[in-house]
Amino acid sequence: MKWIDSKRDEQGATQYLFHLSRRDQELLLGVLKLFPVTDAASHQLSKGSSTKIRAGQPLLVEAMEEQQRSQAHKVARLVKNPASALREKNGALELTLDGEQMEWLLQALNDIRVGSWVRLGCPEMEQARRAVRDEQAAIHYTAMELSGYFQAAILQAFSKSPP
Amino acid sequence: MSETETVEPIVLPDKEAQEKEKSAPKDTREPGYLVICWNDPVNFMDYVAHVFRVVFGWPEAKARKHMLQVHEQGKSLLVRETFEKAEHYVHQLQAYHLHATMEKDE
Repeated sequence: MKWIDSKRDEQGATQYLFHLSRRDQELLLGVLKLFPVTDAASHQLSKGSSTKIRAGQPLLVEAMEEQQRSQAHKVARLVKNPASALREKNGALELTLDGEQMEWLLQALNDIRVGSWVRLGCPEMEQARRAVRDEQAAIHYTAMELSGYFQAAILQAFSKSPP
Repeated sequence: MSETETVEPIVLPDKEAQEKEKSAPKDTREPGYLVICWNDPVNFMDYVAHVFRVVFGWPEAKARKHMLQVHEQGKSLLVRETFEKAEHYVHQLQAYHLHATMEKDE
């Protein structure tokens, strides 16, 4: 996946254009099907022992669960109907996203990346490949690397053309 | 009729308001909570800087400065805020899967 260009629409919002190969498309939609990977209950509000802060812990978990539900709908819409954002032009696949879509896609991909890393046992990045000892770990490792690949393309677009 | 002398009105202190403010929890009045971002090996450096820009509205240079602090020093104190605002920011940062917490400034 490669960022190609960014344009302003009639409302002045930035539209980001990416080129994808067929393989990119399969991998993007395939990795998104894994969403969500993180456990919303694992979020921690504080490392300290303040009673007042600890009382806010359930609210944080509830907010993360709600966010996952909301993003799951968006991810499912894209996976079920990729033609809403992807189209073929001159033999290449074009993905067009607005700033809001870029943001939730980036978050969803990071959920997959971080969640897969946690399931690998939270290794240092240099040790991650060594953590692959069975088929399940291989899936987590691949999902972590693939989501990172797509995240990098989105981050490059944001850095070249802020919303 | 004699000329009246102009005297500035005396404003008595609003004791009720003062008492109310004193009785309000200190937390609601003072930015006594720290929002800290901790290092992890999985989030990309560019991603962390991007999240700081989005969540706090910081310019690129400030976002990168804090991102580098996280990377090189293991953590960065991002903001000192009231309880509610600190909690809001931690929710925002964790929605992006950054390792962020709020701690009481003691």
